[in-house]
Amino acid sequence: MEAKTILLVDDSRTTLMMEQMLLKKERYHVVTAANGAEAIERALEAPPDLILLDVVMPEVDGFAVCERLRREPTTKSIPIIMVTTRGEAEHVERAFETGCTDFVTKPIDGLELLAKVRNQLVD
Amino acid sequence: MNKDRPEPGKYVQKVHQETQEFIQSLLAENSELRELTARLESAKAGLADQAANLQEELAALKLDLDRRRDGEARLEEELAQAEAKSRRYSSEYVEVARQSSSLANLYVASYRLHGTLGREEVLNALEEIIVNLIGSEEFAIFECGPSAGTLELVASFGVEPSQLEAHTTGSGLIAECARTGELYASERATNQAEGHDESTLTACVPLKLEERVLGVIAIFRLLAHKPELAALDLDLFDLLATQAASALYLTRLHAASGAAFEATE
Repeated sequence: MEAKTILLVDDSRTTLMMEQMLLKKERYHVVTAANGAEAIERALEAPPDLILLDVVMPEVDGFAVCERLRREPTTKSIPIIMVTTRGEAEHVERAFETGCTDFVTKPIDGLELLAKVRNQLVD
Repeated sequence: MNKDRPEPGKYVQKVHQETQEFIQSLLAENSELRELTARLESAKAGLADQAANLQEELAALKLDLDRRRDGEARLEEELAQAEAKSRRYSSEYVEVARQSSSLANLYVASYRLHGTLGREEVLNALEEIIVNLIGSEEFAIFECGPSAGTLELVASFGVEPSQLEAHTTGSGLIAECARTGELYASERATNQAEGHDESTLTACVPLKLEERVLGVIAIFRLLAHKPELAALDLDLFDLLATQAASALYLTRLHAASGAAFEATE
């Protein structure tokens, strides 16, 4: 079976590297983007099976990326898991309003992240 | 002589004949009853045989049932053992996955700290480690000053530098950590407290190189959704204590050697 592709979006190299290590170990194909604009470009160019999207990024933040991808026919159905340091209720509400599928808070719990990813990618 | 009365000889003969007929019928009936009795005896014997056979079959079935019940009990026991084993494997898997995730964090932290010799990049890596792997957006990095017992603020995140001046000298937790080289880790949640005094200090990590304290990382409040430090955080503090110290020390050496090299040219 072909490996599912996950697009990781985060301006923190530390987070990108940690997520990459966790997901590659589970045999997912991983592509990365270091900012919002790059994330939109990559997602439209080759729509992945899932997007792990950091919320707090300079210029184009995760909310804007999510809203944009939900407007595009090729990316509107891709599961998007938002990743953020902010766990407050209003922040989570806003994330769901922009169209995200699920939500994880930093520092990332590896088991929680993998469970949420598997849950979204189940056939 | 009365005409209606039968002759005596004929009467006797008639009675005799009727008696003979009655005896014959009784004998026939007796014979039939004997045959019937014989048949019933035979049927009774057959039924007794059948009953004996059924008793044997019943005993065999009971034995079989007992064997099946034993088998069922054994299977139930084996199933319970298999389920217990499955639960044990499952919890071992979770534990291994958790350790693997923790190791990934430690590896990433170490890799990021030693991936550069630039001071700004090391400080940036430290900042990312504390925000993304430990979960605090309020911290400060101090280095030991030239005078004994003093600290110099080299970077802060989420805390105004002016609020940190009080910690650079004195006998508070941060200064104490720099003096003794002992890690301070608060066991209570500090993420609801106000301000940035030492009551909101979650951890104080000494940066040590060969037992020499080069500086201190002071971590104030954790993120609102993180109530307390986890075991992994203490492992990260251990790693930061030496790896961040050597990374920062190397940036100084690198800068000094670069300056020396430029001077010789």
